[in-house]
Amino acid sequence: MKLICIAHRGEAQAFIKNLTVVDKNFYIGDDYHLLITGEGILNVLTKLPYYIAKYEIDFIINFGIAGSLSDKLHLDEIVEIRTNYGIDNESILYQSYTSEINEGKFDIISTNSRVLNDEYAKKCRAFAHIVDREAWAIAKIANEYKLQYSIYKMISDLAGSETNCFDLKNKAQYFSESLYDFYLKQNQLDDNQIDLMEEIPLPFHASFTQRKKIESLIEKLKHKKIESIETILKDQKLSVKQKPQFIISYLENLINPINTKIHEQLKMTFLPLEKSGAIVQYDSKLDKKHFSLKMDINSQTNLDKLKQSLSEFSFESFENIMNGKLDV
Amino acid sequence: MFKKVFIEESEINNIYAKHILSKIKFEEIIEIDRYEDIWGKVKKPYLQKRENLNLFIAKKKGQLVKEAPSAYGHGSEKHFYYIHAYNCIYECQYCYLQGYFSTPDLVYFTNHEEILDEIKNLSKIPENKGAWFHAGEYSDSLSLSHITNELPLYFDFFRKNPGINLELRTKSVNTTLLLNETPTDNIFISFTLSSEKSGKNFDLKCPSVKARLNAIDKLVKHGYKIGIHFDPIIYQDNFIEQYKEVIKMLSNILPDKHLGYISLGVVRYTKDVYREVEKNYPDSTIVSQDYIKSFDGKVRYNLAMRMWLLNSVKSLCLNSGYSDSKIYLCMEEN
Repeated sequence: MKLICIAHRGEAQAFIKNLTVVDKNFYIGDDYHLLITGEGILNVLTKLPYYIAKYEIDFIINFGIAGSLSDKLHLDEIVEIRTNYGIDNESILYQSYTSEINEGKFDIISTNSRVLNDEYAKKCRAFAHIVDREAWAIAKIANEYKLQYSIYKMISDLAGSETNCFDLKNKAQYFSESLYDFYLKQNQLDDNQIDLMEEIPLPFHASFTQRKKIESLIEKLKHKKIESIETILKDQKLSVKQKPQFIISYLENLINPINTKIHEQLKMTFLPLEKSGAIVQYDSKLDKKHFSLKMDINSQTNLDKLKQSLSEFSFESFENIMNGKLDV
Repeated sequence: MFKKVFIEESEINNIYAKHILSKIKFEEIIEIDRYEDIWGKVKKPYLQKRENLNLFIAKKKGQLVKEAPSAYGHGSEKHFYYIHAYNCIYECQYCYLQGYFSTPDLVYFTNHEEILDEIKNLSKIPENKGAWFHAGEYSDSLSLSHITNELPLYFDFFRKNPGINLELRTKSVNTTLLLNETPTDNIFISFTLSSEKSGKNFDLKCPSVKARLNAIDKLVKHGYKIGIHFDPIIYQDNFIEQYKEVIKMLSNILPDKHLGYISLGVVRYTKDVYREVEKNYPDSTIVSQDYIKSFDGKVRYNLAMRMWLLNSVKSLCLNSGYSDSKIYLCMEEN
């Protein structure tokens, strides 16, 4: 469900007309729910998480008015926000947030007190084009809860000594109706939600891990034309259990045939040891230059076979492969 | 080119600052006390360098010249890098600057005389005999050199100090200033190269590999010593053929006698940088490579793959007539 967040009741009035009251701050509807957060970062941080959790919100939109720090912006213009910065008293907050789905060109900085003097406005101007009191907190919470969000601000004044809070309060209805009209026109926002990736259908049973591996490999190969899994498996005489591993090896080889070659050459190198009955284990990631042997010894014959194969084995042959000397 | 220019008040009358301001386009100029008060104070998305790039003009404080890690450069001498700038106008998808600084905004430092004083002091220490001083650690050393205009000063200094070496690392083809200078044996211009396909796929907003080869050709004819960095090497289909082609083109214009060195390095990232690469370029083939998380926490190819890549390129270089003694592996412990 979509949640619209607005700081002040005055700015929310056009949005809540057809909604049902739940409490003094929260309204529900078919298309969206609405939360009046109150002014300031702290109010947002204390209220928003509760309603997100309780009402299974999956998308947040913030509407509100904001002061301009840039002469590129005009009064009454409504802009989408690109990056959200924050400032806490004198200190700029390091972490910024940028919505993945935004098409904004303007950045905003949220302050913990109103920008009523030009000195403060100048400080904020170094970082952003617009100043408000809530956007950074909303973006932070959306980021924490991994929710998509969009932030839209209507330019109400020039931030600094010319800000007239009383005048802004009187114009609340005008701001609210303008923002609501804008929302109605922007109602394609529902289409901006990211669909969950559908599971790739596999023509065989695979464990969860195998499935995830196959999906990850297919994702990596998205730039290449690859055959369908059915085509890859065609003419392969494989048991049910062998199919997923075959596909994984096939796809891995497409991504990195050199790694496949390395594994093949290591297998050939260790073959005499394995023929003697030993199990050879080497770093499957191919990042460590060592291997180990494991063998059940239950007769002198085993031991003799192992001794024979070890005497014929050269560590150099293993080392050469790990040093990239391959027959490619 | 720049949205805002922030200039430290103390540098307003600096000759390098004035030169920069006379050469660039910007929307607004703001005087500040210290660049550190604003630059890097917030996490600014890396890709905003495309449309919202700011420039800071400042004086570098603190250490101006730092000792480089081992395997940074060729030979057994000491290697240092000096800090003339932060960040770069190019956009290479593998660039470590994505995760190193919290902002893509450029900083150009103007106190070049102080940098050279520090180099001078270091060169007097006996163990630093024959030392190398590199530019291009945090920025491309040539891309905007016609704007920053410090190169004549450095050339003059190293001409007068033939016992130490200067390396300018670059992907740029901005050779005008270089062609106005007289080369010396202790000044090296080194170019980052890769296969043409790699360059096209990953070196965004950079001159093409062919354009860089043309620049090398001009500089060789002018008498410069050239270094080559095949770094980062990234595996792609037809890898051997592609590198064979670029090394052949290189050998046609850069004979061994004009070659200072070739360094070879395979793509590698810290985990912070790789996180940024994945975020910034999710659709690039650079993030669909077969990387592992290595024993030291770095994201890169496994050892066997790295060695194969390095040995393959090295063989191609040797087969093209380059001396074995001039080829070294960069930042590779094995």
